[in-house]
Amino acid sequence: MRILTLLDIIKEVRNDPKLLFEYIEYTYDIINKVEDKVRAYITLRDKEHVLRDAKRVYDKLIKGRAGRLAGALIAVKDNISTKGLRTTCASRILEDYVPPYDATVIERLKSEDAIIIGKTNMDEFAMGSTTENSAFFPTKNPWDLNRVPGGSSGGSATATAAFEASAALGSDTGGSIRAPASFTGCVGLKPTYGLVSRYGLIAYASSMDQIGPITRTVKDAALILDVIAGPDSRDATSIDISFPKTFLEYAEEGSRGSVKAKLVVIEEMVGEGIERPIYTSFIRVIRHLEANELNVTWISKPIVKYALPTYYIIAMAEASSNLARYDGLRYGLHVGVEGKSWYEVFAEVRSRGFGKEVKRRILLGTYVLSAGYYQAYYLRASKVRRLIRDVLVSLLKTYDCIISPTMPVLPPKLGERIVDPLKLYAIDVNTVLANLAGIPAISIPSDLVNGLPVGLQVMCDELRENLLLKISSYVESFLKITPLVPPLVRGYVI
Amino acid sequence: MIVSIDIEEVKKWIRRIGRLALINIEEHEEEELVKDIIKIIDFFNKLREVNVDNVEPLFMTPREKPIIREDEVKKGLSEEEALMNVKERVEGYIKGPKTV
Repeated sequence: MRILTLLDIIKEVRNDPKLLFEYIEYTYDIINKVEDKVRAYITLRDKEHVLRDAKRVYDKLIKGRAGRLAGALIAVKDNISTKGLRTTCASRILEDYVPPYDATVIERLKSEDAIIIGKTNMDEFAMGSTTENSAFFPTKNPWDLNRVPGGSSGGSATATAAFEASAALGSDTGGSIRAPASFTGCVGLKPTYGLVSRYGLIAYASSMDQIGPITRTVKDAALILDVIAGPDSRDATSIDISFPKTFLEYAEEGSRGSVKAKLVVIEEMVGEGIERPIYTSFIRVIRHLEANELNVTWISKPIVKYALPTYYIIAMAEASSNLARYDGLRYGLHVGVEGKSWYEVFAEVRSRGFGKEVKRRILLGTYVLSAGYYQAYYLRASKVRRLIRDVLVSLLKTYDCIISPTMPVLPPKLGERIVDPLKLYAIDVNTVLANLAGIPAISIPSDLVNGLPVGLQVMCDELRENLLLKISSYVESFLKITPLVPPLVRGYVI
Repeated sequence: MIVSIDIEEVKKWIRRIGRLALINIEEHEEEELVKDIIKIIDFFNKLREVNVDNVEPLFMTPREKPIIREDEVKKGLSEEEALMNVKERVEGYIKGPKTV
C-alpha cells in the first residue's frame, strides 16, 4: 500500500476499503518503533478505539458514501479542543482537562470521515519555537534526535514527518506551524486570519492565532484546508468567502505545469542573523525558481526589522489577558488551598500550574498593558503593526508573493536556544510578519543541508490562498524533494 | 532605553505586576526573571526608533463584515457536560475555596 502522502492513502482506501485496517495497524507499528525516540504525542488514542471508528468509516466506504478524508489518521495539536479527549495545551494547569465539545475544525474533519489518532506535544500554550517548553517532555526532531523539531506545533510536525499520522493540525500565532514544518521537512500552511474558525482553539494571542495543516505535500495541505476553511457563526472573525475552485484544484494546477509569477525577496529577511548554509541554500533555490520562469526581485523594506519586538509586545499583551481565565475553579489544576486570601489562593493555582516561559509572558504582557506603559509599548507596537501590514500589502499589489527562508537557522540542538529568551525569539524573525499582517504563508521543504531539512516560505496577499497553493505546488513540482522521509523511518515506509 | 538599571527597583515593579497578574514570584526564580525581563524590555525599546506620528494603531486585521449570529435560543451544553471538569461541586454548583 502507498502511504507516502495523504492523497495516496485516501485513494488506496477508496479503491480497497479493507486497506484502512491494514493502514491503521501499520501506523501503530511505526508508532511503536519510533514514538519512544521522538515523543510526538501527549495523548495517543488506543488502537482499539481508532479501529472502532474505522469500522464506521469502512461501512461508509463500502456504500460509496464516505467523506473526502476517509482513510486519514490526523494528529491534532493539544490546544485544539476534542470532545471527550484530554486537551492539555502541554500545561500542568490543564493536565486533566477534557473538553465537553469539539472545535469547529474537528467537527469538520470528522464530518469528512477523518479519524483523530492523538493529541500532539507543543510548547506550553503555544509559547515557544522549539517544543522544549512543554510541561511534560520535549519532542525530538526525527531527522536528528539531538535537535529540536521547532515549535510550537512540534508534535504535530514530528508525527507527520515520522509517519505516525497521515497529516496534522497545528496552530500558528507567530510561526508555530511553519517553523516545525520547516525543521522536520513538512509543508506547513498558516491561512489568512479568519479563513479558518478559531472556535475551540485555546487562545494565545487572539488577533493572530490561526489553525492550519501540517502535511507532507502541498496538495495534502490544500485538501485539509478545503475541509477546515469557511465561515463559522461561533467565530465572529471568520470570513464568509468562496473561491471558484477547491484549494486542491489550485494545487493540482500548479503541479501540472508552468506558472508565471513575480516574486520578491525583502533584503531584511535574509540579513543579519541568518546562518550561512541557509543563505547559500536560499540562493540555490532562487536559481531554480528563475530557471522555471519565476521572476525574482530584491527590495529593501527597513520597517521589517521591527517586526520581532512588535510581535512579542502584542502577543504577550494578548496572552496576559487570555490567560487570566485560569483559576482552577471550573476546570484545571486544583490545589485545595483554603483559609488564605482570595489573591493568595488563585495566585497559588496559577504559579504552580504555569511554566517559566508562560509566567514570563504573562508578566511582560501585564506590564506593557499597565497604566503608564500602555502607550509606550502596546499602543506603539500596534502602530508599527499597521506600518508593517501596509508595507507588505502594498508590496503584494506589485508582486504575487514574498519569498524567504522560513527559518534563519538549521534546527538547533536541544537546549541550545532555550537558555536565552532573546535567542529563542530571534528564530521567529521571518515568520511573525504574516501573523502581524493577517496574510497567508506557507513553508515548503526546499533543500536538505547536512542531512537536515530547510524550508522556503511563501507569503501572499490576504485571501489569495488560491495563488499561494498554485505557486507553492508549482515550486514543489520542480524542486522534487517532497515527500521527505527521515532516515529514522525509511526502512518502514519505503 | 533603560539607562541605569536599579535591580531593586525592577524587582519591586515585577512584584507589583505579579500581583496584578496573580503570579507569585518565588525568591529562587527572582534573580533570573529580573535579568531576562530587563533584556526583553530593552529589546522592546527598539521600537522607539520608529516614527509613529499620525499612524492609527492596528489591533487586528480589518473585516468588512464580521460574522454576526442571530440571537436565538439554542441548546448548549448540558449541566453535566458544563461541570464535567469541576473538582468540587455541590448540588449543581461549583464549590469555591474558603478565602479570608
